Amino acid sequence: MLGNVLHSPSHSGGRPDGRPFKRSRKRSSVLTKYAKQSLAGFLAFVVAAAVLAQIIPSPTIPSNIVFVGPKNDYYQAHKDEYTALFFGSSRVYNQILPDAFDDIAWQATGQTPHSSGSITSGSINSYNFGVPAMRAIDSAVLLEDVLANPPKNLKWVFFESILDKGYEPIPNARTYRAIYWHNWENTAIAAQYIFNSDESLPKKLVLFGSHLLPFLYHHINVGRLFNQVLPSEFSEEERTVAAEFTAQEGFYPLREQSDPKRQAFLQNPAGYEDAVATLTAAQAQFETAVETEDAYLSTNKQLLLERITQTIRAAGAEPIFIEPPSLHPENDFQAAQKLGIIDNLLSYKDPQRFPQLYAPQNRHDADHLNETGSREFTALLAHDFAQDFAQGFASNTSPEIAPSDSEANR
Amino acid sequence: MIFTEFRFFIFFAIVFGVYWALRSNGWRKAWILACSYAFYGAWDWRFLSLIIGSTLVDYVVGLNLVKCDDSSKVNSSKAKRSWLALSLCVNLGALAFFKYANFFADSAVGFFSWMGLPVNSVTLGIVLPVGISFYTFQTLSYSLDIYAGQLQPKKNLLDLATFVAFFPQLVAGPIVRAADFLPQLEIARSFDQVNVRACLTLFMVGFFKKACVSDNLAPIVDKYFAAPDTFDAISSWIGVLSYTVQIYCDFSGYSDMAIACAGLLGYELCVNFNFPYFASSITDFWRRWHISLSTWLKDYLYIPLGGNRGGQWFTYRNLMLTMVLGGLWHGAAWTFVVWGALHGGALIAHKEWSKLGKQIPILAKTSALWGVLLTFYWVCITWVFFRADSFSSALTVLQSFVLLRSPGGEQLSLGLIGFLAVLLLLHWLTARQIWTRAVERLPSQLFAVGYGFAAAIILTLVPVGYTAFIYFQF
Repeated sequence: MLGNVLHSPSHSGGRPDGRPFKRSRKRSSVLTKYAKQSLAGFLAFVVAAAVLAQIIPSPTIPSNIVFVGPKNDYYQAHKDEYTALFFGSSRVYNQILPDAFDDIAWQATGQTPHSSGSITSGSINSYNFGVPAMRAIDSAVLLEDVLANPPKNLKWVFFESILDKGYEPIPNARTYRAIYWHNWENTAIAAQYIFNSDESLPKKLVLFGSHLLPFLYHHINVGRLFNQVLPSEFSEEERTVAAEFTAQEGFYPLREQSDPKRQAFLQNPAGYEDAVATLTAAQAQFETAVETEDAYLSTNKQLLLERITQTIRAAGAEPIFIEPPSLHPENDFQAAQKLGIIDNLLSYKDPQRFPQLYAPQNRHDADHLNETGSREFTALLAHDFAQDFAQGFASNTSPEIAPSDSEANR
Repeated sequence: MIFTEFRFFIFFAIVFGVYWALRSNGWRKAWILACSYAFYGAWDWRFLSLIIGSTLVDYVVGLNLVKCDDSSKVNSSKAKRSWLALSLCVNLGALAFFKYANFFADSAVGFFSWMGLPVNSVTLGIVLPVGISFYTFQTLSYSLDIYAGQLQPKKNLLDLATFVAFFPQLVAGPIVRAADFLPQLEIARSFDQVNVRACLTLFMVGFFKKACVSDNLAPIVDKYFAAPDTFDAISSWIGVLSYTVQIYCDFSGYSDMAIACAGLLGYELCVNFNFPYFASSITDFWRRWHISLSTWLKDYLYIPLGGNRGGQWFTYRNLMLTMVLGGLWHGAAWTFVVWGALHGGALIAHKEWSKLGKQIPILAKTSALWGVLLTFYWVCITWVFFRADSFSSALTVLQSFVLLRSPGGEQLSLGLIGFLAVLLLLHWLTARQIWTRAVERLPSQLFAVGYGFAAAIILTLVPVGYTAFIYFQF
């Protein structure tokens, strides 16, 4: 037993000897006593947490985070072999095959592909750093962390992201994947992104509030010892997936037929066709609109894209933004290009121009391509890359890349 | 919302602050009730209707049971039985529907198929309301105690509703008796009554058990029980021992935190665990494990069945029935029934052994340590049925755990044995009250500083992510 929780019998309001409690001390003095003790305890907690953070520092990218850890570990071991990196969400992770990309890009320029282990002048060897469910802020943070110590042969960085509102959902906020990057600097990036958005102030506060839990967990070291000294093992499934994607330079195809999104897609083909038609109309409307009036992009998205561009250029590479074939209605990257915020964009968000990428037989679900569709998409991307940025291939220095619109060259 | 979540700390801080700021006992109870409903509604607000419905039914039943006593009508006992039957039907009916409907349907289908009669399987998409087994037993105890004349019904609905929904113990016990809790609601609690240090220490111990021990062992246990045939015999020992520690730390950790939270509000809940793995016999084990359930089953099932008032076989029948139903209470699966039956069988065997000890004194002199080890070993064996997904899986584990024969060659980390040994030492030191006495003697400021340091260290051991308590599913 750890002692009684009450000083007196529970059925009474009095002391163990039966006498009632005298309010001998003033309420304020009791409060002062407990306030002092609470403050002492709190200060001790803060000091201990700060000391522990020094003793067990958090790695920039811990190894035991699903997807991110194994991807980064493999990349760090081979990084100087790579000349191109793909960053983004599942639309990169599940849809871009680096080996196929390298081969097709080389074929398109009439040169031989890079052989593993030797970087020669004009080599291209790409790595897929796509991670499922990456959002605007964590994508930018991962990019900065990875490029803080860039590979010496890096020439191109492809970046994809849906520029969302910057919300960190509560179930995600309690995961190590969210906690590890919420240091002061990265949380400040989140704050900048949210407070410069077009949302109302209450909405901004809610959005920023969603980052406070992982920020707090980061600074009070929740799970730090557990995760670093007694690292949790990946599940059998996670290990199998990691082995497969590292064998394919970071790519992992979607093929699970029982996936609820896959089932929903199969059960509602008419809904998908409607969504594709809506996207086609919206894309046409967007193109008409930007021809007649200025494109618009909110300040926070502008700042984030500028930051991403600076990060990539600081690493000695050229940024190339990608819009994969998705049904997402926003045209942020296209608007950014029109506004001159980004120079290079390869966009596939038009069902009319790229019908094969929206054909149901090439889709795993409404949001993603299947393996066949991914090969189709990778081939298109590699071809466009070779055409639009061919100058960069021949040179061992940073490529000179002209602003372009991939569709315009088609 | 669970006790180890950050949002619970915010929730409790608000509950605590407002509760003690209120002067009127009535307002305090109303505040606790509102917070309890909010706490439960955080899971699924729809099931609040079940708690409220159960409360209202037992409120009406309680009042009418006393009216029947007061009336001089000849058929008053018949009326009393009818009112009690209403309470039993509503409470047990809800439990049967939400918890056992699919189990009985599947079992019937299985039985008819075995008989060679083709029956279409019917599985209802029923969601099990969290804590239904706990609050159902609480409300039942209220009606049963009034029926037995051991308790006066509450005219104040607020008191009864607060008793049923009191959030610290609402979802996973301890199963509080109306006779123990309702009198506490009648008197305004004084903060001077609260042993703050004991409450805070108990909460931290419970938090450590749940978050640092149980949650860290969970992935290891899951990994082992997912494919026991792939592991070697040593791993079966590590897997089973890890589960034995996990379930204890998970459930007793919850109880500790529940008791501590209630204590901080001035209410005392019954002790639910008393170092059960140090029990010297299986009978002793059931005096120490989930005490609130075992005493409930004894008072409301075993004794009404006749207890030990008949012959030996009559007593053993009652014992076995009680344990089997106790097993079924934990979960709607035959593995739980076997778990209960194994404990029932062990209790009967222990009674026989005790009799034999009276006839052959040398047997009674068996070392207490052997009793502890044998009891612990048996309890570990029974946990295999409690944890395994199927009988075939349980038998695979037992073949490896008991006979040391396993087809698999994979091994769990041997370092876990060291971790379990450290836990055993900590547990023993706690049972001997070695460090707890030292904590009691600390000056207040030193306790506060030590508490802050201990909290910071404990948090580094908490695996991130949401892990519900095992007993929430029961």
